[in-house]
Amino acid sequence: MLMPRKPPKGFRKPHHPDRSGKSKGGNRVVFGEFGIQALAPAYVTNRQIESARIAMTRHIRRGGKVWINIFPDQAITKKPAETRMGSGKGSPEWWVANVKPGRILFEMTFPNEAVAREAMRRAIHKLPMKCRIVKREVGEG
Amino acid sequence: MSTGVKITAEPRTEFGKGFARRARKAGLVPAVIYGHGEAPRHISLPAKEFAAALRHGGMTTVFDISVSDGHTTLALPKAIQRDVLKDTFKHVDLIIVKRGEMVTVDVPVQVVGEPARGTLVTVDHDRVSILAEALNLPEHLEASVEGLDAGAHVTAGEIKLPRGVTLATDPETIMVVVAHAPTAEQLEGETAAAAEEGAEGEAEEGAEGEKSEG
Repeated sequence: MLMPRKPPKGFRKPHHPDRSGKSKGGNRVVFGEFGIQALAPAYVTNRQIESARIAMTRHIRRGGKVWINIFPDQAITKKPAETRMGSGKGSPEWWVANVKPGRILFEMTFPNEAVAREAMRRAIHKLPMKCRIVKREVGEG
Repeated sequence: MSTGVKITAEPRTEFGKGFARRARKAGLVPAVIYGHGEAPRHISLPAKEFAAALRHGGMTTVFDISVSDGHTTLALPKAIQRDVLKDTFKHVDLIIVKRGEMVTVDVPVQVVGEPARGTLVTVDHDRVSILAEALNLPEHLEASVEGLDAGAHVTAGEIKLPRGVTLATDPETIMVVVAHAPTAEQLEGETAAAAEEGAEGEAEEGAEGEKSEG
C-alpha cells in the first residue's frame, strides 16, 4: 500500500487538509493516452488507490501501462470507539491524497481504447468521488 | 497549414474578475494582445468562434483580429487559460505577428503507424519547438513508429518537417519510446512490490508509535 516512507516533516497528527477550490496542476493527461479525472473534492485513501489500480491492471491483463499520479501523504486521525472527548488528538488511522476537482488521478496506455475505457470505468467504482475518463488531446493548450 | 482566421473582437474597458465573469457568461473570452513593442490591447473575443478556430487549426492558428475600434492585427495564441472542468476558456494571451515573420512555436507531435507486435508506445514529449513563417505553421507534426521494435525510439531530429520549417529543439530529444509491453506477471509484480513496501512502512509506523507511547 502506498504511504510515506519516512514520518512527515510537519505534524504527525495534522489538521484535515483544505478541500476547497479546484486542482491548480496535474489536470492534463501527460504520461499515458487516457486518464481518470476527479470531478469532486475527496480524500482518496491508499487502499482505494491500490484497489483502483488492481481493478485496472487485472482488466487489461498485459500490454498496457498504468501511472498513479496521486500520493497519499496526508495522515487522518481517529479517536478510538467509545472514548470520551478530550485527552488529546486521536492516532493516525489513514493515509490519504487530498484530491481536488480537475485532478488526473490515474493515467493509462493501452492499444485498444474500448478495453482501456472499461478498465478505467472499473477503477472509478473503487474511488470515493465522481470521476470521468479523459483522453489526451493533441495540441491542447 | 493554418492561415489567418478572421475574428472580430470588442475592446475591453473594464477589468477585474467581476467583469471577466460577466463577459464569460455573455459568451466572450477576455484576451490581451501584445508584442512588437506595441502597448498591450485588452479585448474580448467571441468564445464560440475562437473555440471552433482552435479546434480546427490547433494552437498554431493565426488570427486576423479586427477590433471594432478599427484596429486590425495578426496574432498567434501564446498562452491559454482553460477551466479544468468545463473545458472553457478563461483568458487568452495573443502575440502580434507580421506577415513573413519567422516565429518559434511549440507544435504538437502525433504518433502514427503500428509498431511491432508485443510492444508498447510511450510518448515522452508531445510537443516540439520549431522555427517557421508565421502564416505557414503546421497544425501538428507526425512521429512514425511504423514497424519499430522494442528498444527503438524516435528523436526530434527524426520527425519529418514540412518545407520552410526548421527544428528549434535539440534534435537528440527523445519524443517517443517503443518498449516491450508489460506482461501479466510484471503488472501483478507491481502489486506485490507495493504491498510489501506498505507492510514495511506500517511496521516502522507501529514501532515509532510504541516508542512514543512508552
